[in-house]
Amino acid sequence: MADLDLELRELGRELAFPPTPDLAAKVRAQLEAAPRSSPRTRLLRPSRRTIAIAFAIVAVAVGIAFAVPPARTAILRVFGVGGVRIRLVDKLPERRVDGARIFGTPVTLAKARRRLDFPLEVPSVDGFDAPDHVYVSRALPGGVVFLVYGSVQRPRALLTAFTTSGFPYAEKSAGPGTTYQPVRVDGQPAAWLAGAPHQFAFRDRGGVFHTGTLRLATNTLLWRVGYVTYRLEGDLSLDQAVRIAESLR
Amino acid sequence: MVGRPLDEAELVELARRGDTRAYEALVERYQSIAFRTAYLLTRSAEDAEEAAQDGFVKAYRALGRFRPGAPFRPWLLRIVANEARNRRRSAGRRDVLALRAAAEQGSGDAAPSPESSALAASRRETLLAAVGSLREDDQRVIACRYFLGFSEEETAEALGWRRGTVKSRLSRALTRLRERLEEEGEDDG
Repeated sequence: MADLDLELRELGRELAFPPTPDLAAKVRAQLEAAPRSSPRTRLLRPSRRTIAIAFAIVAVAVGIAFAVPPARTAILRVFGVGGVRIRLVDKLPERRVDGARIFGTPVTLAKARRRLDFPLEVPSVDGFDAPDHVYVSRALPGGVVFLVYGSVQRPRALLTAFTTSGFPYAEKSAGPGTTYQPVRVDGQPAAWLAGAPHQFAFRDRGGVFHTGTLRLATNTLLWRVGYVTYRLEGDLSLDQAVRIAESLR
Repeated sequence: MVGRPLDEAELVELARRGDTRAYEALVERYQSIAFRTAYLLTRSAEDAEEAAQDGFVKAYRALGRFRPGAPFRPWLLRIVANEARNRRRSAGRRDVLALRAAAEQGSGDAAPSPESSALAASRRETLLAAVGSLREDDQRVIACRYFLGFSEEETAEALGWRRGTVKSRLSRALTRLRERLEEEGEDDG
C-alpha cells in the first residue's frame, strides 16, 4: 500500500484511451475558415460588452426586466419562437458586423443525425435538399447542427437547428433597421426578421454565452417543429423562406 | 520548415503572428495529451474530441495574451480542460475507464510468469474499480496527477483549483482510496 503512488502511475499507463483523433487538420481548417486577423475573431473574444449581453440574456431567461447596454437601449418588445427570444430594441449595442457563426465538426448529414439528440429534418425543395456542408456541435444541450448552402466562408443560406428545452438558449436583438413580422409555418407561430443585420447570442451548455452579429442574417426565419427550433438565414424573400421551411422532411 | 525542427517557443511565436502551419505543428505535438485530458474529464470520446478541438481553436485565438517564453503546454491544457469541464456538466452516457487488453499492454520488463501477470492485472482491475467508486473530484485529481502525469501546478490549472487545494484534495482522495481498497481486501478475505 505504501506504493500506491507507483501503482496509480502504472495504472495510468495501462488505461485504455479511445484513439486520439487527428485534430491538427480539423483545427487548421477551422482557423483558416475564420482567421484571427479578421474582425470576425471578435466573436470569440469575450469583451466587456459580451459579458453585459450575457447577463442580459440570463435576465431574459428568468423573466426579469433588463436593458442592454444599461441606460442606452430601451427594449421595445420581446417575442419568442421556440428556443429563441427576439428583442426589439431602439438601438443595437455597438458591434461590428461579423461572420456567420458556424462551428463544430464538419460531418456528413448521416453522422450529424447520429450525433444529435433530436430528429433533424432537411428541406426537400430544390437547391436546399442537399446542403454543401454540415457542421455539428454538442455545445448546446441536445446538439446543434448547421446546414451550410454555398461556401462556409460566404454561405448563400444557413439553416441551424437545435432543441428547445423549455427556456431560451438563444436570443436575437433586432434594432430599428430590422423589421419583425410574426408569420406562420405550417400553421405554427414563426418569426420573420428582415433588413439590417441583427445580433444573435446563445448560451452553450456550459453556461457560456456566444454573441455576434450575423453577416448573413439579413433575412431570417425562425420556426419550430415540435421541440426543435430552426433558423434559416439568407438572402431570401419571406415566401421563399416559408416554402423552404414547410418543405422539411 | 527546413533544417532542424523548430522548437516550441519558435512555433508559438510563429503561430502568434498568424502562421497556421506552425500552430498545426503544435496541435500535432499536444493533441494526444489534450484529448486524453479532455477524455478523463468528460469520459466521452465525442465530447473529448470537441473539447480538445475547440480548446485548440480558442487557444490560437488567445495567443495574443500568451506570455512569450512561458510554457505552452499548461496554458493550452487549462483551456482544453475548461472546455471539457463545461461539457461534463451536461447529462449523458459516460464511459467507464478500462484497462487496455492484455495483448496491447507493452512491458519493457522481462516477460513475467503468467501467474504474476494475472495477479498484477487483477490488482490493477481492483485499483481501477476503487478509483471509479470515488467521488468525481477525487477521481479528477487522481487522473490529473497519476494518469496524465501532471504536476501539482498543471493539475491546479486544469481543474481550476488553487495549488493548495490540489494538495489537500489529493491527500484526502488517496486516503479514501486506501479505505476502499482495504474494504475490498476484507471482502475478499
